[in-house]
Amino acid sequence: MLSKKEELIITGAIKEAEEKTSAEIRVFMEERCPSEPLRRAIESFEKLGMTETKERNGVLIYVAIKDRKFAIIGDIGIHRKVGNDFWKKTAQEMKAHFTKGDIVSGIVAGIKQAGDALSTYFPRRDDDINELPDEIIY
Amino acid sequence: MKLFTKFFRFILLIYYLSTLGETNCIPEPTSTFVNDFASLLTIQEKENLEKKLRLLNDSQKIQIVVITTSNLCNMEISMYANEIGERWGVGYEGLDNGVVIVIKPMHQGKKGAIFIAPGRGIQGQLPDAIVKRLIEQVIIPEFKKGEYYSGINKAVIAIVNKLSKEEVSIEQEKKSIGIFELVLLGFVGFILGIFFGGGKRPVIRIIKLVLLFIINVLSGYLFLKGFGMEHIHWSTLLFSTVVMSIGSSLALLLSRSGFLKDSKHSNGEIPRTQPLSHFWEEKKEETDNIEFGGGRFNGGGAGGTW
Repeated sequence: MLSKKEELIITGAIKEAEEKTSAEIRVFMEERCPSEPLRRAIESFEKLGMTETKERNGVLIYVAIKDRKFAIIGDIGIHRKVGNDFWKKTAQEMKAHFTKGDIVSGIVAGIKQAGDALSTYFPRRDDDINELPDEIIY
Repeated sequence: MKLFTKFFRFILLIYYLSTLGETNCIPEPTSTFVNDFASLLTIQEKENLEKKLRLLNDSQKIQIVVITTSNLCNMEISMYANEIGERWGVGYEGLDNGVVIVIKPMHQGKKGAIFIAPGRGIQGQLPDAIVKRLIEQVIIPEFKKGEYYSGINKAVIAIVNKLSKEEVSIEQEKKSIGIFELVLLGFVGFILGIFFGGGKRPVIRIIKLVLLFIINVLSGYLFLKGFGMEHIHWSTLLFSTVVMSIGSSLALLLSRSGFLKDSKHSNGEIPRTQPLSHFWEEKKEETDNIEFGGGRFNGGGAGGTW
């Protein structure tokens, strides 16, 4: 789905974002979405065990490349802080990249937005450990 | 000697004629249910009764033939009635569900008589005891007043009441579907809908829908057979298919809107998990019991298509 280089760009963006926050950001990509992207994202969120974080502040970016569907969702901890509008705005920004055919930039934009928000509300502490792996999941 | 043979022949001839007369005495079958050979009824009464009996024959397949006669052909009235039933072929073949009512009016001081002869097929519903009571308590009192029409009419109503209770209920069992069956059919359709809903690609979805429809028709047929319907009319089959399809559509709609989680989709459709396969496998068992919707995720988000 992605070239090695594209993969690196995305994992790099995740790392960069997570340096500023205690929260977790992950990307889940697949070719086709079996249902609605939001539903699929939530489903995957749970399947991936992302609800296990202490402060319930995981963020998942979901992209179905062939079906051209995507979603960005955050757990209750972060959602309480940022509210609905944040997700809408971020999704719009991502969509703008996607429509230009630039999947990677769209995802990176999502990661950056989420990272900024997370760092505001869940700043990185010294004793923080990376709770979840920050790779891209296919 | 010659005289004796002549006399003997004459006797034979007389005997022959008399037997001939006896067998010919039974009237030929007529095209009406009411045969008032003894002229006990007015034209109006005859028409009323005829109309009623014809309706009974057409709607409920009960044949009642009424005969009034002053001439029983030297037979017992019961024999005469049975003879009429046999010769006229009263009742439906196989069912043997005809009823012959013979009435002999009082004539020149001789006692009148009435006999009701039910066919073998309905003697269970019209046992002798009931017929006897009907005659003694309902019919005879009317006849004694000279009310022949009223007596016959009451007899017919009583007989129909006795017969139609069972006839009608049998009809209902065979021909119509009750609420229970409807709900059952809908439910089966619903279950089938759950199994055949969805599909990742449009082609698969269409194939599944066609399969669903075929299975709905087939299982509908089997269910109707199971309900005890021997001859299933195409419209009944269509009806059951429609009911089942409604059930299936409901299941499809619900699964689309997310009320029903399609567990087939959620398993194994996160493809190529190489980078995190160990993670995935580890978490799988824990996460299997997470019900979507009532799941632990409780946050927010946004998505869309491009």
